[in-house]
Amino acid sequence: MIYVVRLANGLELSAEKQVGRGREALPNGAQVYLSIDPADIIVTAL
Amino acid sequence: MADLAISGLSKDFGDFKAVDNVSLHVEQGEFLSLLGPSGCGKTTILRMIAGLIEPDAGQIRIADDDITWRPVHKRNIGLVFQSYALFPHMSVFENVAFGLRQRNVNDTDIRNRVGEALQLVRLQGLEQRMPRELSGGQQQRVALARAIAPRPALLLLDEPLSNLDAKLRDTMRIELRLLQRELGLTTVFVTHDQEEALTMSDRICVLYAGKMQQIGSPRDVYDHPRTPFVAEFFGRSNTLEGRVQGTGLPLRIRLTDDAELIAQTAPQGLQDGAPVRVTLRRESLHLSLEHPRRRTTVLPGCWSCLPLPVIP
Repeated sequence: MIYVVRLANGLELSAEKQVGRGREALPNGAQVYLSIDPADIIVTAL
Repeated sequence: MADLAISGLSKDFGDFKAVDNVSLHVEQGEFLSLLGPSGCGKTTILRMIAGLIEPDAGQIRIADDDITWRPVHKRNIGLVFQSYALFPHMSVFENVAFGLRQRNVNDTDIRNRVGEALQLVRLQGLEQRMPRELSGGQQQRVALARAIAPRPALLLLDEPLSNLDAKLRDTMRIELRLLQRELGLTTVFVTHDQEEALTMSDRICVLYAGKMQQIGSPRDVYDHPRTPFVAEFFGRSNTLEGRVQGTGLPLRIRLTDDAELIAQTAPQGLQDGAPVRVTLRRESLHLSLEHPRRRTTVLPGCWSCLPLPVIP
């Protein structure tokens, strides 16, 4: 399932979470933590 | 079979720079995809290799033989188009035999090589059918048989699967790749479909606005994009801009006054304060109701969550 997560500072990110088979969907409006492995952050020079 | 080398290839159409100084090398037996959005120059490059368009500058070599100005029919290239381009008034046999007759191959050899090509694309028994009596997938197989029957040095494929329905396209991807491997055909494949390029290619050349953005293995271009365009072109991503804080790895990137990320890899030579683009793929972001225990970068604060329908 794709979720849009609105950060406190106004940034919006979309994230994917597997649901079903014991993995519950997040309730609407829930407070969540968003995390990422530093190795998965892609940086390109501008 | 042979290798292909392109150097400094350029083409303008009036004021529009279709291809801008592109150089690349395709190894013998390699499957290379030219990938990019409409107007990126991929088809123009393919047509210059085929001899259908003359370059403004640059050189094209097959097996170290300069073919830049050689006519189409003397390049020993097999071509397959999106629209199949079968001759509607000719049977399957005659369509496949066409290139062989142009090369003055004798009748016995024509029969053998057409039979061999139709067997490879699993169309034996349909020799006398007309193109209108075939399904889209069968027509594309005939086009492929016609391209490989003369045993070309190079196979050029211009979005050959785009007209097929999704299920047949998946099947044809596998069949095409197996056939290419079996014959060891050096192949250049044009597509705008990222998934197609990622699943089929030995290497991918990503193009944008006539320029080569990056060339590398599917994993390389997906996991280690070198330009913001390549980073955003693959997958469903979030893009943010920030500034480098300090130097060296791991790299701290300040997004806003209260948001910072730490990246493990980054392009070399980034200076303190340099502007950067940060790409976060959807599948790499983890959502949880509790603070994650793993060693990860946790974006600051807690945020509200709005579920959306799954986007296919």
